Amino acid sequence: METKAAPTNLNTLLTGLWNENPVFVQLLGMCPTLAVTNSVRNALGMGLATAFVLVTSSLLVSMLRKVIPNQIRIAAYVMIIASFVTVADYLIQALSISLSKALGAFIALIVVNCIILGRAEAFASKNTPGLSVMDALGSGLGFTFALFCMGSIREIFGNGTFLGHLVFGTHYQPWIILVLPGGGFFVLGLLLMLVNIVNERVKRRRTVKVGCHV
Amino acid sequence: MSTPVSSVRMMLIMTLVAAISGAMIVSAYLYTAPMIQKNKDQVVREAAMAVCPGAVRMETVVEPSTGTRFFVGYDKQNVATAIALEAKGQGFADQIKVLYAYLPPAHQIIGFKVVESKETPGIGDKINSDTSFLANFAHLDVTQPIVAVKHGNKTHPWEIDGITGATISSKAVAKLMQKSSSERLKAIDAYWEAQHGN
Repeated sequence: METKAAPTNLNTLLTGLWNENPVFVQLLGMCPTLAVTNSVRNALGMGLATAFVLVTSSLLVSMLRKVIPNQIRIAAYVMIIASFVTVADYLIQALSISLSKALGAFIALIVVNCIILGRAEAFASKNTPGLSVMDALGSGLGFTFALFCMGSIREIFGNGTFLGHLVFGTHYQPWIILVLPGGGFFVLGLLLMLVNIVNERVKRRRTVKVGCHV
Repeated sequence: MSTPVSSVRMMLIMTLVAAISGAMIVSAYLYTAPMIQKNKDQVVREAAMAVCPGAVRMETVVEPSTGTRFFVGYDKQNVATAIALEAKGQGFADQIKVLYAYLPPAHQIIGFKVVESKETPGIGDKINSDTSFLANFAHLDVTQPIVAVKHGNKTHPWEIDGITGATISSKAVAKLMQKSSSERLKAIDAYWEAQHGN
């Protein structure tokens, strides 16, 4: 009988980053993914803020996992997550007021991002702090990577710039639709298609290799 | 199935979690508050400096009657060049916040900058970049009510030549400028006369 191998730090990190990427595979956190990825700066700001909240709240939830009774766990997790979101909000304002204004209400809405509560409930509440941090880091970086991809495509083609620097010169006519809300759906659809194609090919190659080996 | 836990224990644990959360928030607030205030002041000062032509130094003044602030711009010779005021009003998407420079002796607005807006990218956000629209604020008369007119129809110095395709945003700017100038410029004129003469 095949036994399930114990999770390692690296495997846990890579799972969130690609195999179970919160945006491309689990389709979680769609609200900020569509709303604040109209530029690379906003996308990175939101991604890193979410990653910060994920890592810190997972760490605290994991440390308190034996203390918090099952009956009040959701209320306690939400309180912990909300506190770290407030801390993240203050830190962003201290770093850059313009970034804070650009992200607006979406910073506060990290509290209700299902990725964070999902990781706290499904992983951090059952695993050691070290493993929980790696899991949260993987999901956080995976989320940031997805937002960065969205933001790059939308800013490069929708505004003709990358991080504010001109990419195509002054004669380029930007595809404004990409930085408007509708453009978010187009780019997300496109990226989901690409990720599915890549995953399908990898799966097919593995199947062929296993077949040859047998 | 979860084991039964007494209500007192649950309340104690929630209190513990709340105390940890509260301590984190207060610590973060105390650590970041001076930096946040510094950043906010910096943003407004930079915008005020940008709208006051020739200004190299800004002085913040609080109106005693209303408690609202304005900025006096000084040039290299320490002569007051203009006064920068904040104004806001409803735009197409959300509030538009602007800073404008007013020159009391001429009764004219001589500078304008959008500080914050969520107007539609590529359409309404042209209020911050369209050169012919921004040219309205180089010499905008405030002796008459400020109004927006269709692009190319400006005939008077108190009219704002609108942006084709961004009519609502252009009108919103005219409306907020009219409201702010009618409410605040009398007090600014009196201040200027008292401080710098006519």
